[in-house]
Amino acid sequence: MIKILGFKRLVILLVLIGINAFVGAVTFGYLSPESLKSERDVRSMRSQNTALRADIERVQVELEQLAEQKGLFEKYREAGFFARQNRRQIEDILKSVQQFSGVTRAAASVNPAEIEENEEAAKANHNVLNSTIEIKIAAFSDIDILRYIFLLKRDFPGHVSVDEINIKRAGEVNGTVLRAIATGSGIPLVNAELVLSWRTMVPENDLEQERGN
Amino acid sequence: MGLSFLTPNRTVLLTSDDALYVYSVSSRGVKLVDVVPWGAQNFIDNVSNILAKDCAKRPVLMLNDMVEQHYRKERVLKSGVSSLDKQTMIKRRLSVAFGKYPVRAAMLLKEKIPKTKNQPASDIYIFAAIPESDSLNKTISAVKKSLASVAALCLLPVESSDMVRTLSQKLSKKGSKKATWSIFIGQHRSGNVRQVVTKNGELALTRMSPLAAEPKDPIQWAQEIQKEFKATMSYLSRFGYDPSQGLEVTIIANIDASDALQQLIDEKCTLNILTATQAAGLLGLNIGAQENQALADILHVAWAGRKARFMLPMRAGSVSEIHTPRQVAAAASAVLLLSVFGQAYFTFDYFSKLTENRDQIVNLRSQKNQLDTKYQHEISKKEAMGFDVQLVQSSILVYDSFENNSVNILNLAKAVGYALGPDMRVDSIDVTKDIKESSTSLFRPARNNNINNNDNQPKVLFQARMTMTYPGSTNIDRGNAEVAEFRERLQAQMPDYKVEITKQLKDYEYTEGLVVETGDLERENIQQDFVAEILIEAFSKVEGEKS
Repeated sequence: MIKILGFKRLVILLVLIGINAFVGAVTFGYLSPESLKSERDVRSMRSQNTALRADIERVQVELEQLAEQKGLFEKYREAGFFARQNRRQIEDILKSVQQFSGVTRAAASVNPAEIEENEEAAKANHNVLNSTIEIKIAAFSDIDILRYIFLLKRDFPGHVSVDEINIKRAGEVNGTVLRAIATGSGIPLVNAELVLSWRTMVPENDLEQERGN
Repeated sequence: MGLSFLTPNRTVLLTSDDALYVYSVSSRGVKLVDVVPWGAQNFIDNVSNILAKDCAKRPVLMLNDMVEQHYRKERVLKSGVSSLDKQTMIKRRLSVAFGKYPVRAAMLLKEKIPKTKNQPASDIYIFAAIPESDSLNKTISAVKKSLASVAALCLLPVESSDMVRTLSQKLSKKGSKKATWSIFIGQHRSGNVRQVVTKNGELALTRMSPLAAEPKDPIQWAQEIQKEFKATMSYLSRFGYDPSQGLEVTIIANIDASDALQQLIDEKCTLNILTATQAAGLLGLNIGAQENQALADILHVAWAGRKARFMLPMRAGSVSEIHTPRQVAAAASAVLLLSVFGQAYFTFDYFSKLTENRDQIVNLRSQKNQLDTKYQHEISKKEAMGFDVQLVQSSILVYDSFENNSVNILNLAKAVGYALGPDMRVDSIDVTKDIKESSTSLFRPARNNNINNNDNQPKVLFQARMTMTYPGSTNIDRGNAEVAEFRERLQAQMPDYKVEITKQLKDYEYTEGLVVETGDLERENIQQDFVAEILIEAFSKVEGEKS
């Protein structure tokens, strides 16, 4: 073979093969995968930076909103939205509400509180406590009942929502009733049955400690 | 010929009967490198040295210009033979025709024999062969030793036939009838006169004859040439030459022999007498300055030496032995070189991409660091506010969600109060969030279910059912009208709510239930009170807007 091709030609061929192998190895063994990896890195870093920019914008918007939100939060705090549901406290409130609303009588039964699942509250490591309250009211006028509801919502710690209400006329205005009014004795003409949900947000730790005790 | 910078540079070995003429053919021109007589001592070594050193191992074209060249025209049937079988058949016929000559080849001519009643259609081939002579073996050995690659082994008259055609085309006057026959006459350095005769541009006849006269004596030289021309013409009549077909004769001669030739050539033909330089100019060949303008071998060498494709490369085992591996090696080198360039392109491309990406990564990292710092700054500002931001935001969202889902009974009562006015009253109002299928109508529950089941529709937040009692003595039509007006007023007060009458005082529509009291009750004239019912439905999105 050397006789026919000659040493120089063989060397040239071998050198060319060698250069090809070397350049191929460098190109496809190192540069190509590195280039692909670097492209992936660029894409990943771009998306990271985009996400970071979005986070910064979100935080900036939150900061602008926080001043307003802080006031609302303080209002809820003062209204007892973060308080544990103290039964003794509401006894007094119910008495006061009955007295100021003008209803003839109101019988309230407060059920034991239950933990209500709430995703948003969980984000702040809090639980929602929900107590169902059933109230039977007798009043001279439906206005008194509505006043009762208004005062209840205003004075109760936390949030009170009306789930059900049934107001019924119990009697008619007649001579007997008018005479009773004249003597100052309260004769109920309207009955109402209320079902309320009383909710507050309490820290998860407090409930866990209570369970532990 | 092609463009000069694209045509190959070669060494042409003109194998003549007296010596081997070594020419170097390149874009710069044709140069006679050396003349080595066959009987010279160390012929192989000398020639291989010339090829390796003086000619820089350029590819070698062996151009046979010896007297002993054998040609035969052969007919090969066109139909009934596949192209593969045709090649085999031609090889076989070639070996039969020139069994004693191992260096042989066949070339298809444009000339065809048409199909007639007596004979089928046939192709015409020129079968050519040369003997395996001592001079050929010496030449091949020298090439082998020099390690130069072999371009081809060809016959000078065959490879020059297209030169004769081209020259004839260049010399023919525009508009004049083209001659069928062309004769090219030129003396070679060996002293012999080579005549190449073409018919319709294809080789028809070639003659090589020694010339006694020297070009220095133009009269005598012209007479000798005229004698050889006459001999050729006598042969030509045997090849079917007819003066009416036209004949063009081109003679390469010195200028001083021109007049003598003009006088001596009396054949009816177009006679062109050119110097070698003039002919080269017409052919577009660069042969450089020539001392003897009567020598034509340099034209043949220049023409054949720069050909990209040969007309009739001869097949010979001894040539293939060195030709094939060297050709393969040259092709492999070319492929490898191209591959290096190709890979270099990819290398550059990937490298520039990598560099660009790395620069971008550096920039992006720097951006990320700045953004991180800014983010931390914003977070620290948030933390510096001194309260649990998450708690503030979550508690507001939680409180709002409770508020949005609760029944605003005070707003409802206010709207009902306005709608009732001073004269009307309701007996009961029953508000519930626990929505169940209504039993008041056969047709209503389906609609309610649709509202609740379809996520795209607003969901019913609560229902308020109001009843109004009318004495049995009430005019039913007036009572129904009053209830309808009340519904209208209520709807006007609560435009986002759905208000409908679910029970009228009395209705004889087929959807209503009917109680018919007869007998004692009727006689006693006891009249039942009428009860009308109105249903208000609030939807979740409406509720969201109300506060």
